Amino acid sequence: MKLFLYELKKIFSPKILIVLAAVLMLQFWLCYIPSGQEHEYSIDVYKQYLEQYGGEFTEEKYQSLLARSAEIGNIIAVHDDMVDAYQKEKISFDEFEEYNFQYHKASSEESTVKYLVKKSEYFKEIGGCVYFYDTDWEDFLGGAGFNFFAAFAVIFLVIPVFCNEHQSNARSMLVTSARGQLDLCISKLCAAFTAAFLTAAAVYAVKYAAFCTIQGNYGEYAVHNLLGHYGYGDISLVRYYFTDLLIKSAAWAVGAVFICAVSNLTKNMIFTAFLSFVPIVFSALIGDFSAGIYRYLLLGGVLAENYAADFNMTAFTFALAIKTVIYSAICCVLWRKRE
Amino acid sequence: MTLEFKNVTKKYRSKTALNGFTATLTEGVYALLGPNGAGKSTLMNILAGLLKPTAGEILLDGQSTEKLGRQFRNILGYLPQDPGFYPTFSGYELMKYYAALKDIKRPEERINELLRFVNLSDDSKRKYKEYSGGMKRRLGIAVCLLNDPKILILDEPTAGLDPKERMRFRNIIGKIGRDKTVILATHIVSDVESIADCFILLKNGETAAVRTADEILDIVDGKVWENVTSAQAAEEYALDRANANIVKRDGEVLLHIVSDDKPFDNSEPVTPTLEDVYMYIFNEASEERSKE
Repeated sequence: MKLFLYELKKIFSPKILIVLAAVLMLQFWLCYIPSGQEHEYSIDVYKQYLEQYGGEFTEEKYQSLLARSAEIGNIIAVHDDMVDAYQKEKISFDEFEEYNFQYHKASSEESTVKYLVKKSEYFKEIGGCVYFYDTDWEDFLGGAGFNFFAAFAVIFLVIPVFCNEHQSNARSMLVTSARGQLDLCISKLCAAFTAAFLTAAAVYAVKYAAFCTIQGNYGEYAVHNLLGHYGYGDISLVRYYFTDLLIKSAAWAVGAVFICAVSNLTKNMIFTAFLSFVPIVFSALIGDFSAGIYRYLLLGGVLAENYAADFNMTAFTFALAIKTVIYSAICCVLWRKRE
Repeated sequence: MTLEFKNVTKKYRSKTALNGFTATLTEGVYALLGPNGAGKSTLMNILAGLLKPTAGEILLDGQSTEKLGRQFRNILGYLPQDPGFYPTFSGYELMKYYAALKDIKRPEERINELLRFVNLSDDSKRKYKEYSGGMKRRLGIAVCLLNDPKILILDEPTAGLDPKERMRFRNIIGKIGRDKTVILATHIVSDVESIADCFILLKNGETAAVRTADEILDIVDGKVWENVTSAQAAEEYALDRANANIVKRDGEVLLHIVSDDKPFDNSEPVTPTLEDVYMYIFNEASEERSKE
């Protein structure tokens, strides 16, 4: 335990803590920059409709939205006829002006009402849903892809754990101490694992904290209220985010053990950074590795997207445990290896 | 306690760094002498368990040090030339960290005792990066002694130290060496002249000589000469000869030569020093290398 605490202290040196604080502040500040995500509906109209339709899904609300959708369809459908009628003076200016107002209103509401109908049909299918202003949550979760701040923080923290000992020649004194071989290597791995987990979790938590200061409502509603988020059961949006946070943090922690193994192979910070960056970050950026078996095989798979409804936590935990054991074993063998 | 080196050999592809080193060591200070590339560090790294010998083995009281593993490391203290201590740790923190590594329970008393021994008590709270070269070396020794090792390996411990620090360091080693096996590698002869009980001279990976302090000078007995000469003649002679140096004594210029044969008619044999032994053995090595 003492060795573990010393290793943690070495990882979180005062200079490193300053860099980490800067990374977390930058992450917080960047959350205030609008995401610029496009939506198939008008946000203002959506908010207006939710004032009327907000709350639990009912058949009446669904029928009302269907009726409004039909009404909008009818208004838009007769547009050419009404223009023609007005031009041929078959209707008065006042009648045309009234129609024109209805037409523009219908046009502006069309996409939003269609979206609400689509959403109502989805609600009707799964049952027990609630209408609420979920755009911010959709943007927030939709933007939770690969986090470069977490990547930077973890790689920056973990690379020196073993590389420092090799590059500063400290290893020779360490491995000739009674507990300097297996015990120390395991302590270092545990410290790297813990540091990576805590740091990644802090980055994701800061992102959530920033989101709360901007929006932060409705976190208690079930995640299945978001269109397309079917199959997660009744878990709330907050719980969904924090479960995802734990999954990603655990993946980063295993990534840290991988980096440690690479460190003992290369014994050099630059090569370790490169060789760690490629499999972890690239696998998250190239191809679709977040589906199927890849999400359990490659760390990039889970780090690139939020966990899917069919995500198997047992398989994921098992895969992480296996990977941790393999990387740790490689790390220990290389650390103790005599030239 | 007996430490036995049996035909220890280390080869790197075509280069033999250490060839069939055989020796038996007991308590005392052993000076490992030789120029750079002689195989000193290789030998110490093999003993410390950092290098795997290509052939041969090291036995501690008849048991292989490799097989003893942690048991051997428990009685070992190793100080490399650059120990790579953590610059942001204070001296005291470093001692505590290594105490944990050496599995020492309640180390505070031992740490304070050792810090007093190496005269660092007043600086124990200062960060390692603020220490002078001599202080770093002394702290290194204190760290090595934490587990009260039976075998202490010191690689070039006085490299880069000023004369005062070197003298202080010699005194420390002298005290330690009474009940431990201290193996000290250096190419600075004066550092070990007064404290070593035995000298192991290595050249080109081969054992050139293993002698006790009483025997070591026998190697050059009757082979060290001095003659009075002019400053110019001395300079001309010594310029391209590694076995000769110029000594100024009582206003006279003396040519100090280590040679099997009497170099000049007026040369007189003088009492040899360890430096003469070093010059005699390693001058040959350098000559052989230059012939190659």
